[in-house]
Amino acid sequence: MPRQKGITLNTTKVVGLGSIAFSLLLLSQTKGLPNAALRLPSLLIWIVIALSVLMIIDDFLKRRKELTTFRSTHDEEPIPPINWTALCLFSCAIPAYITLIPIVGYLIITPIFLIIGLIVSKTLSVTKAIALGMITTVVIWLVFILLLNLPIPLFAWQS
Amino acid sequence: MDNPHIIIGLLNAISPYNIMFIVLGSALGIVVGALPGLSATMALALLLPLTFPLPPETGLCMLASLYVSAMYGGSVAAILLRTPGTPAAAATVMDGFPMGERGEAGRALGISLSASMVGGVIGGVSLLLAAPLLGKLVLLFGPVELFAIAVLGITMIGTLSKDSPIKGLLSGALGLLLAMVGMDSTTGSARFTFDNINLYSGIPFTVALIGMFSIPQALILAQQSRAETAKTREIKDRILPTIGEFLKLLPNMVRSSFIGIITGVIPGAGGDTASWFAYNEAKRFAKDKSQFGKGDPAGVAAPEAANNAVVGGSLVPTIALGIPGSSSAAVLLGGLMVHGILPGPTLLTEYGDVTYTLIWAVLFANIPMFIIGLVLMRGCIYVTKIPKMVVALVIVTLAVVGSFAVNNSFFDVWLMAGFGAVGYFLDRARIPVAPMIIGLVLGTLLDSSLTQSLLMGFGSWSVFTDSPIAFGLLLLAFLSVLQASPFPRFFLNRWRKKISK
Repeated sequence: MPRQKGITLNTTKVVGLGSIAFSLLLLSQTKGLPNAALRLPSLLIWIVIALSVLMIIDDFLKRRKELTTFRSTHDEEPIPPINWTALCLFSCAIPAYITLIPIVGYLIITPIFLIIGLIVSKTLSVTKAIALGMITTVVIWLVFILLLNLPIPLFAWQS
Repeated sequence: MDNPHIIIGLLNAISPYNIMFIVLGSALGIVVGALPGLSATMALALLLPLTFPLPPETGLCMLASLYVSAMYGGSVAAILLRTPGTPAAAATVMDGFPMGERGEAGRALGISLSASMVGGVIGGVSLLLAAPLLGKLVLLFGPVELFAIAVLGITMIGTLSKDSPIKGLLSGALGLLLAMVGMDSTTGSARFTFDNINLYSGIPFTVALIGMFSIPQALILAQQSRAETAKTREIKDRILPTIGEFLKLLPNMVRSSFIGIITGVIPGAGGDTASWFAYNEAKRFAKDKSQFGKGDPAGVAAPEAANNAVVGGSLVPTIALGIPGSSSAAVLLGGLMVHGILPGPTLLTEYGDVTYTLIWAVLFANIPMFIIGLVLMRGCIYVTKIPKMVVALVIVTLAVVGSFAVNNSFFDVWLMAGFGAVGYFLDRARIPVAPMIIGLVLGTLLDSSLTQSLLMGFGSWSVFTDSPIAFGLLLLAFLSVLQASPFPRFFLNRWRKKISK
């Protein structure tokens, strides 16, 4: 089977281990809770741990079979490889955008987020990116803020 | 009609104010459905916050019409671009795109629109007929039976997952576990809140929904932003099928609609399963099978009728039992929940007026879908050309403002982003998100019905075996898990070997 270039990630294992860690974290929080409040949650915690372990084992067996038979065991088409540059840039931009809304204000940071995103990705020209950023912000402002009265901080001096 | 809610619902649905929102929902649904990669569920999740200030029946009218129309919208990109707009339109590519290639894109879209309407109407009528009957039956159910129904719903959704039943079940169990966060209704103690006051009322369902369905899609689109987009075909031919052609395709559309309804009723089997199932059946029934895959109109009509009929079918268990048949139905149920209408048997009694408005809206939405679909057909070509990065960025801005709208809190925005990250990893690991969302919806019902059942049984679990209905449902749940496990195959193989020896 052809190996993917670059950093590869066994997401099944990541999710499995993450689920176990999350379940154990919740299990540590059960101390002091009355039995009646714990009946279903504790049952679910152990079900999640058991299913996570089963999923990791199942994935390991599938991968071993793939390596020995040189054939994919998945029925669907293979998942495309991760474009790490785009993924990292975009997933860093989202928290930055959320952090800056209460500091800078929604009406200032939203067009900046859109325009920079479009220019950096070379999707549109600077003029088109500015126009689209402005129009989108105005539409969202009209619908969510003017019509629905959403109390989101609009400018820096309002936050 | 002895049920006044049916009439109230009908009058609600045909009020000019609600019709306006049905039309708006239909237009939005077609546009979103036409955008490649965007699912009806994602559109519903993003637009759910818009319905908060609206009366519940109006908000539901808009969401229902959006759901119905997005199913048709998905075929636009499938026919013009060879990329299904929604997963439910994947089977339409098989014959829709070859029709477009030979200059019959308009005809293919016309057949798709007509089939979608036929499927939508049959699905809507069946919902209107089946939901009250099931609803009457459910009124006989107590907490013990409701617990069993919820367990059966979540196990079926999990085990019917495409890639691996283990993954589906894990997703469902995680959803149920997340629903346990917050104040316990019986003891009043805070569970898994980490002393964070924002979590005392639990994880907001809408926030999780927006994060899980929109952020992973935005991340995927951002990664594909440099990828070459397929050339869109032009529409130069006649759009609507002739009466003769329509009548020739009608039996296929009706058969596919019933396939869609039945598939929709089964929790976890959505529009994509139904459309492939209907496509295969259309091929099986066809006199000339060789034309399938080369642009046979029957290959367009079958999946499109089926995926629109799924809407009505998936709402049957949602409305009658409070168990969503699909992730889109879960969002619609979420639309009810934000207005304080909780899933369960009371949907058709106490809140019957709102629920029947939703049912009528599902039926009536087919009319604006057909008209707007015809009007926007040529315009949809431009929608399919929108760059992926533009869509990704707009999704993020809408997700942020939408999650803030739930409780006017930035904590919810961060929670949404967190769920988005989790959703992305689940997507990469081929773990379906739908069971988790449905688990989040059913968690509270499951917890409260378990507590009530054990109180009724004086703490004894035998209360579940004493009720024949609950026992039967739990047995069915156990069998659905068992059939998905490798054990039956293992024993069957051993038995076959023994026989052959």
